[in-house]
Amino acid sequence: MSRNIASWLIRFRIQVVSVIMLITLALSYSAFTIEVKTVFQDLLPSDHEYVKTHNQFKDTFGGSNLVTIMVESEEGDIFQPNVLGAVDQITKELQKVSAVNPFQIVSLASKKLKEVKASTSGIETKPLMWPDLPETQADLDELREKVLRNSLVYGPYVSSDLTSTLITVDFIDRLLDYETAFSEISTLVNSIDVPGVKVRVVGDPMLYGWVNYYLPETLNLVLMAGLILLLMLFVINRTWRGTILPIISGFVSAIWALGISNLIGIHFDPLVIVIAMLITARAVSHSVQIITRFNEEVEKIESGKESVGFAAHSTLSELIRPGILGIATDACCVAVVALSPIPLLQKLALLAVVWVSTVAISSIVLTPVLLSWVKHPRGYAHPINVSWLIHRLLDLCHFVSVSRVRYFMAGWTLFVFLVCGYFALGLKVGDANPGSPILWPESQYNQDSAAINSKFQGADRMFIVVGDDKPDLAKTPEILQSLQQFQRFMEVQPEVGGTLSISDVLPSVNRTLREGNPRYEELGSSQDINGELLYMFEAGAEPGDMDRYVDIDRGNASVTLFFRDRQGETIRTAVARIKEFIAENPLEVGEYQLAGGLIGVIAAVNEVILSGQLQSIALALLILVVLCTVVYRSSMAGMFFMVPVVLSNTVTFSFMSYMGIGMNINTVPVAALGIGLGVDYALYIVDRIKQELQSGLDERGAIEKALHSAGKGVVITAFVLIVSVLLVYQSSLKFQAEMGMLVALWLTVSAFTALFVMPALVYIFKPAFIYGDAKTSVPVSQKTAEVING
Amino acid sequence: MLNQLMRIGIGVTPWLVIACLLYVGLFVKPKPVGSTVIPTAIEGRDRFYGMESVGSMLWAVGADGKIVRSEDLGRHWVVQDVPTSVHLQDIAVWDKQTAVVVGNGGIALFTKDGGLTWQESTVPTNDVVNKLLDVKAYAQGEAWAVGAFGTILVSHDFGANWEYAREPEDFILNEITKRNDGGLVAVGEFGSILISDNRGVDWQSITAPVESSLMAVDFKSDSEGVAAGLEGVLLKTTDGGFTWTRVGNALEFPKVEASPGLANDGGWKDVTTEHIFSVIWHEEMQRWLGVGTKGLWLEAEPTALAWQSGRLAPKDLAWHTSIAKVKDGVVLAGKNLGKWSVDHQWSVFQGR
Repeated sequence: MSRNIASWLIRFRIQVVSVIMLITLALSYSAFTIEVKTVFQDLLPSDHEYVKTHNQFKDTFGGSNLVTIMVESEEGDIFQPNVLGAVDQITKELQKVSAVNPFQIVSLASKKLKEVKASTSGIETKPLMWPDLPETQADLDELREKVLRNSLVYGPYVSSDLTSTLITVDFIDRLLDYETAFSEISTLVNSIDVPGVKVRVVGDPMLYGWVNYYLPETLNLVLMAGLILLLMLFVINRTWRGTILPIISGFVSAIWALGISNLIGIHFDPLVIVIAMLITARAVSHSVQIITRFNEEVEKIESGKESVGFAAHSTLSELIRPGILGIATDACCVAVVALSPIPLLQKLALLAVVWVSTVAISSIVLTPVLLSWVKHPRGYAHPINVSWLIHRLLDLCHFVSVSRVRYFMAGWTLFVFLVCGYFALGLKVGDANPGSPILWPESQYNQDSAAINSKFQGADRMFIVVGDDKPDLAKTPEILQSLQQFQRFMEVQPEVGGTLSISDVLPSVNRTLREGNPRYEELGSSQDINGELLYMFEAGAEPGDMDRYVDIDRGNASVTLFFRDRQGETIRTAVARIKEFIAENPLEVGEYQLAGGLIGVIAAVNEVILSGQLQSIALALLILVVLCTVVYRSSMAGMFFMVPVVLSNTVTFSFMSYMGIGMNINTVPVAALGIGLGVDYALYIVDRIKQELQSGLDERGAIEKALHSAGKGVVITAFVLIVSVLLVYQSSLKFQAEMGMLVALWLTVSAFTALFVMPALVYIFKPAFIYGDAKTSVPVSQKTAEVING
Repeated sequence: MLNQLMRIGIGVTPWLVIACLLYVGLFVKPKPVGSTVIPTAIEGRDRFYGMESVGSMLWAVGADGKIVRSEDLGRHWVVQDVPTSVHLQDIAVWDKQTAVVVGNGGIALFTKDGGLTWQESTVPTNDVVNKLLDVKAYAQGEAWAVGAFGTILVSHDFGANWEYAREPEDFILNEITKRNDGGLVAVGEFGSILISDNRGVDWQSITAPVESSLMAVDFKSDSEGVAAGLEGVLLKTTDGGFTWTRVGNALEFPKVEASPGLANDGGWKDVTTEHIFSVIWHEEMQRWLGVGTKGLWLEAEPTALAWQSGRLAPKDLAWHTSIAKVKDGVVLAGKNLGKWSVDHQWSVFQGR
């Protein structure tokens, strides 16, 4: 069948190429206008319990896009006119930032931070500093003292050493655009030029803003990688076709994929660039395989009688099977990612499937068809010849495969698999280190984040909701008492810097009422007393003032937990402890609901990834096994091709574990693509051994032939791709750099396996699907007969 | 035969692998497992109201029914099992094994085994409000407790059974003490001072020279005593508590406390500052010592006329409500626990 398809394609080559060109042209507009952005809602698994809670209460208790700004005094404490002036200026200017929720700007200079005071007429709440800045030294001293005695401010908003203070601002999620927020806040922060005052900013809008900020740099790196690829292909292949056709192939598939994605409404996340590179690498690989085979076919033909059309035809017909099989496994394996309930991953899987599928057209069809027009098939474009080097390497591969070393190679593979398998178990879900894994530890953002987390309770928040729809439930002593116990329980974990709830507010109001006697720092004994305390605290409150603590009906109360880091382990422990507390302290009325805020959302994403992690690996492997079984009509084929995949993935996972790269929403798709990636090289080589055996060569000859043809393509693509992908290691985004390294590792391991391990295994086990049925079918039928007779 | 089995094995393995992959792919969903967290004895949220010492043993009680004990002057602490979670306000000890604790809801607990087991005492209650704020232990198992609603209770069996020593009345009593000659003196809200010279049978109300609440009282001898309270009030008596005079008026509070107390806009008075919550006579140091809000410490020579004050540490604004005597200093209980040494060094006890 592949022969018929090949003939048809070559016969109608003009039409084929024209159609491909037309489609490419048509899709280019769409491809170049694709939106490059991170959409926050896409990151959330919307059906997850925590995300439901988050979405239900985020407008009241705080979203996950909180930006925290720390104003730091470089000398002395913050109670200096210039420092407080900066706080005041930032607080006021923040109201002008797009999508900011004006009721959720909290700082010393806002109305939100208040003092509760006893007065002759009862109780009074007054903003600490708003509206006027303190001017005299006495005013400053007074403010310092007010802060020091207010546990809702001293600690949460002013650091314990008094040298820094926080401004927090929340956004209206649906209006938020990370890029705009980032640029407006950066401009605002940079405009603060007060000597002795340092301003630091963290928060997800800033983090993703930084990713966008580095987008041009990332694109430059990708471009550079492309150029290096081009240059190396030219040097090694020595022909224009060997240089330009792989690039055309990569380019066409990219245009198609991006064009189609834009048409079906998928945008391009900047963090996905690594995926794009990975798939383009596939396109280039397949194309190089085809060109190598073409060169070989040309060599076969007697000098002077070259017919490029014939060479192209036989290349196409011989390589359709391994090529399409490779692409199909890639596509199906990455399609498994779409099972994840996270929209970003679903869209990404769709994008990747489309992209990988287009490689079938751009490499497997377009490359050989274009080759059929080659003018001087035997000519070289330059005199530098490195093919002897590749030749030596392939000789070594052959030696290893057919000598006794092959047993050592098989044993070594098993050993590496076991050792790496052991280390791969240490792979963590969620971030493995403090700070954002997207950026380097020494990046501005991570430095700021570390500084803020060392001075304060923690910049990242989670909220837990307690109560139900019954109004005023949050005033009952049972709920309030439970909140206190819960907070005490949670604060035991060192990474939880602190907690905050209405249960912290009411006792201090009570204490103030009791002449400041700390022996009365306690909740009211009945709902009415608590209601009264709450009423006193609310006196003179503005809309949104109580939002951090209770909802409008007072039916639900929130506990905000402040986290010093967002490591997977930290979050898992916290969530497990929350569940432990709920199980041990059941409420009669109302219930605890997990979990909103940034940490709540990350917890949901991590749980989804953890729960789907084994699933996706198993299903991807299953698809691979089934496809190979079907194509080669042998269940052993499935087992056989699992070797390179399992090996490259265990090595990569153990490397991730060693480097402290966690499985998170950004690394999962790369890992899924990696599963399909591991098999391509092996498919080309093993399929070639099969073909040569069928054409009558002996097994040593077949292995040698396969290594020197398909193997050559593997060496060339692996080498040039590894070098160009490693260039991405220069990225200012740690995530890109690490993923570049991972991809390089994947390529290395799968190339090594394809060149050294697979031929050795073929020679050792002589599987029937390669050696042909004739050889093994006799003994099997004999045995069957024996079984029946015996 | 072996060969045959191997061949069957090889034939079956791929399908087994496929079945396993399918099973894992469809059904295996790992659940997150967190790591264990070991709580420290003293937590950030703790508030301790009462403290006692015997040699190097320290015993502190506080909010949410917490009782902690240290055998090595605060280096290590052990949390004790308590049959309640109400706020515990004070502790009094007879020796390392025997102690009594009082708290909210009129609760009293006693132990005879160093706190391994705490038992609830039998305490009479009124219908209005029951909150015991202070307890003192004396020889032969005698104990006195005072609290809200003018409660004065007495026990003669190491705190196991209590009875009213006075009809309840609507004001709060904050502390009671027994002079060496056996006379009882209690102080409380609105400058209340009660004296009984017949073991609590009759109580005489004394007019104090102040109207603000008195939080603490202690005697150096049968006649000389000091009472202290809110807004920095210090009173001295030289006749066993029948007449009192204000002392320490010239007291200079630390700088940061110089301005508050008066409001900016005159309409209200900030009464949450400068409170003294406890005062004691330290025989070995031959000094009067006091503590209060915002890391306040006070000190006076035996005549209690010239008082000094300051802040325990520059940024430690924790309040303290109880003082216990130890070698070369005192330990304080409050928003934190720590030692205030004779040479004015403040060190906070960590929770380990």
